[in-house]
Amino acid sequence: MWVWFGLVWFVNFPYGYDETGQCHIRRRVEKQKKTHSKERSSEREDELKDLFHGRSLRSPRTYHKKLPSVENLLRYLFEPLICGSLKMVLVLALGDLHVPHRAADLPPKFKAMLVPGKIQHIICTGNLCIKEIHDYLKTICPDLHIVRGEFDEDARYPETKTLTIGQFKLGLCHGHQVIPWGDLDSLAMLQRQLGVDILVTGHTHQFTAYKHELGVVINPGSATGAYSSINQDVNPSFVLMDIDGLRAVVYVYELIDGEVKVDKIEFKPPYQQLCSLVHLIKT
Amino acid sequence: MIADGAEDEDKWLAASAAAFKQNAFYMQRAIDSNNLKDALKYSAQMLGELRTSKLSPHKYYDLYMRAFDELRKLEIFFMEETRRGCSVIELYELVQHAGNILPRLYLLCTAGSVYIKTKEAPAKEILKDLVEMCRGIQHPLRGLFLRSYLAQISRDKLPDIGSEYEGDADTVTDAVEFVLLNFTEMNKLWVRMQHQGPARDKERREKERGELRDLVGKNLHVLSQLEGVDLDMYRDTVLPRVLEQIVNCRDEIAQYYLIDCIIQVFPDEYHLQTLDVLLGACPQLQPSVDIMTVLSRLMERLSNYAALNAEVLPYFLQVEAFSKLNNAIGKVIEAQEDMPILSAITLYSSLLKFTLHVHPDRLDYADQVLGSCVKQLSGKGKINDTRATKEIVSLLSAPLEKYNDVVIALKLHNYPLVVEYLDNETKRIMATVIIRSIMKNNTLITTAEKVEALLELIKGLINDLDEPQGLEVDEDDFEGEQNSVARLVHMLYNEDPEEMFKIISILKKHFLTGGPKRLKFTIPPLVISTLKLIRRLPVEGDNPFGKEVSVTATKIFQFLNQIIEALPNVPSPDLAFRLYLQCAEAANKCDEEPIAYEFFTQAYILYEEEISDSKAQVTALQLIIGTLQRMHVFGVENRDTLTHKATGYSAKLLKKPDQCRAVYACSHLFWLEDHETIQDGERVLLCLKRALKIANSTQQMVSTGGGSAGSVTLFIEILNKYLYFYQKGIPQITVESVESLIQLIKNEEESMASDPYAESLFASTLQFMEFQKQKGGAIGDRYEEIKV
Repeated sequence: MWVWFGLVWFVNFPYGYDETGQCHIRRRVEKQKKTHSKERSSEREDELKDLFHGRSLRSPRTYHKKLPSVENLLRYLFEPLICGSLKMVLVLALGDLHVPHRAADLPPKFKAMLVPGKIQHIICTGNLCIKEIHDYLKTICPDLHIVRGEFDEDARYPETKTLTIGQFKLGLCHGHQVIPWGDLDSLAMLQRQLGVDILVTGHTHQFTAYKHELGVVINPGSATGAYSSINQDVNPSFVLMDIDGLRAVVYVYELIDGEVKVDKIEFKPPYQQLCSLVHLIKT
Repeated sequence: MIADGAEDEDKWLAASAAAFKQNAFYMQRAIDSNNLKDALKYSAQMLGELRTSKLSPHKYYDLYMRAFDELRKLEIFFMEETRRGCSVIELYELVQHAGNILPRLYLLCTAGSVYIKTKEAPAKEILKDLVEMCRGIQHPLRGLFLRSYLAQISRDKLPDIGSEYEGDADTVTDAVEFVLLNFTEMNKLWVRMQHQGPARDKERREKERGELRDLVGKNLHVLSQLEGVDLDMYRDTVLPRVLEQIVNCRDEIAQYYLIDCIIQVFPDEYHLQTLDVLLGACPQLQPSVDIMTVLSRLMERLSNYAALNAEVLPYFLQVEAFSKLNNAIGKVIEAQEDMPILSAITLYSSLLKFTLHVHPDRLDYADQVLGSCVKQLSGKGKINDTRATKEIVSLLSAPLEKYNDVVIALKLHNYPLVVEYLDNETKRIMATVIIRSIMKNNTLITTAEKVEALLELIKGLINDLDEPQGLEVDEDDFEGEQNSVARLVHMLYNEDPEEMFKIISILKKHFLTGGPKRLKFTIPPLVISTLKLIRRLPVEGDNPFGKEVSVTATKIFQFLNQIIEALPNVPSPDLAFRLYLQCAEAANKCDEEPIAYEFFTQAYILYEEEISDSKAQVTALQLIIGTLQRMHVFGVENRDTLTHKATGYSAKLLKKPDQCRAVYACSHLFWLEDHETIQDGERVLLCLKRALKIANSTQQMVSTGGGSAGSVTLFIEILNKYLYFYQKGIPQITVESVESLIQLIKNEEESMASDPYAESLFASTLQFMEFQKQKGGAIGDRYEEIKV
């Protein structure tokens, strides 16, 4: 077992991170310059454009450092092997709708975008709060995973949930259980507890995407822009994750002054997977 | 009997048809050999078959059509004869030699048609002669068909404007005169039909009569087709004469059909200009005439006309179409005393739709309609007729659909009065319709006055109505309705805090009296709406206009306290508990320490007294700790009290692991990153140690065979907390304490082996430490010190 950890570290150490080792991603409203990875993802973007009636994505922002050569090699060699089929999977993450306590309904613009049949999984961080919303989500996609928010009455929702999509392990938790609320270090601890690559939480009503050594923590914000005692100005937002084998691209849709703004964030492949692969090959 | 009758009839028809065919054959042969005399003879014999009175109108029509085809041939033959030199006047005389009157008149009409074509005499004279001669047949069925034949062959020979038969002597007036005369006579025959035969067959006869109506109506159609019938002619001659005939015939079927016929065949423009004449006739009709449908169609036509041609709208105003229609409807309802309420409502519904289409800017008109409707409904009590109820709902929905704005409906004073007459069930449905309309159009209701009016309108959803016993509302329906009310609260909004406060005060008044069942649904959105208001309050001292603001945060917090207080008795203590905590946090933002403390106290009381389920307690405690951790408004004393209580609660949870987790969560209460006054490392350590103690006791229970596994997991979780605070640089959390904890966990390797979850958690924790070490800098250094 210890040898295994050693291997993990060995593979990861040489390609360190920036000084802080983490970056806290938040939306920037001002225009961004197009940088890179355009060609690679243009095809997918077209598909997504199509999905949302031609609304164009804003220029991609990539927190994706240039892949080290060893990794690239591994990707080329083993990606098909790992993924089986490289099927595109769209995962909708949303939560904290608080209907009807804090909001009347989802914004009509969001409703127009969320058409049935395009999304393979929905993960919901809770606080729906009524059955109508549950039923509505079911119509978008029947594969619905919900955890319980503090205002949900439905006792069938679990406190936490984990699921595997593609090569990613996803964890789901509303987040009121993690004190201090919205604290990234504490969320990282929850992530270790759940042992997941991507942790999706809510409760703060503020979109955040945060990357650290062992994975990603995403908060899709509040899909209705509901009142929150934690954050003053809440814009309605949700997240769409495009999971494609070893790659995860996160699209954030946010309604700012009546306009839907889209941000794109790309994440590295999960190291643990690659490492275990190395381990497999070596033994 | 009837079957026999039908069979007999078939036999008779067959016999007549056979004789007819034979004569037609001989007639054709005569025509082929240019034998006028024989042609006339056989045609007269052939037409003699039409003298039967045994056939029903339907069968007779069959026979008539055959005759019509044959007469066409004969007409062509006559035409040829005249060209060959036979004098048309002679021919006209000749046909009158036929023995029987019916064949004679058919032949006369045919010859007359040729006569007109040759233009040897003015069309006017011939037409007049024909129409007068036709009086000879007074048997209704035969007469109707004969006159129908006359109408048909003369159609293209009327001296209309622009027609070739128009001459000095022949004007369109003559054409109109002729058609009107024919129409009048036909109508008389038609109406008389009902009196023919035994009374027991009346129903069947009336049905048959209905089948013949198109023969009569055709005349009106011909009139409408005449180029020469312009508005003046229509107004001065056609309409009064036709109406006179309609009113005087005093027959239900004829009146209904013909009025409708007028409305359908003549142009909308004419109707608009002669509205008073047309409407004036309505109350004079027989009471049993279904005037409602007629008027509805008229209004429908007019509103479509207005919708399609915007330029005619001024005419509508000019002729005061609305008030005329309104008066007419009033008169009709007055005249027909036993008119069912359904018809009256339908009439008003059509009128409302008409005015909404034609005069969208005249709300007073719409209100007037509703007012008349109320007048009709008054004294009738609640409406029980389901169809009438439906009609009222459609009446009430019309303005909502038209304007897509409920605010307009709120301006209609009579609107709520009409709602009053609905039964409770329908009132609720109507209320849901209204709310749905608001939601769909995203209408914000912005003033207290309108909110009051709206709540009055949807009273069915807000208050318990005096429901008859045993009529329980379906649970799901009730929930759906109440949720829609909850959603509605978010649409009641005003930027101005004072007006907004008025709005929420009104809501409070209504909601609190709405019965306990509803509070669970209505209070939360009201609380959130109020909390939003607090955020918009101008900051004290930041009041550039010097305007005195009467709404203060303190006042609103008091208000909040009052509304939440109602909840625990419902009972919904969980909800009240959560809302108190929300309020406490809002008070914290406003720097209102006593208020925040009060809210917390309320929450604590609820926790102690009402929340007893162990799972609910865990969640509630998470919320207490989470909220309290964010509070910075409290002074040392208050804070101590509250944190002490929270830790106390944590240690009293039922399950040990829950206890342990709650206690280590409490450690966060003593270390607020951004507030140096709230940084007490000593007590953080105390909490963690206490958590360790609990974890330890869990372990002992495991070793004695009781309790559940997972104490190692707890140790590792606590280790993570240690690392969290160690990383923050709290002096009390020493390297040694971290190291010894790691050692402790490592000693548990045995039990860890049986617990893959703990194993992986420990692995990732170590991995995390290694990463932190890698980062370098201050944090890296701190982690460097830890020797695993």
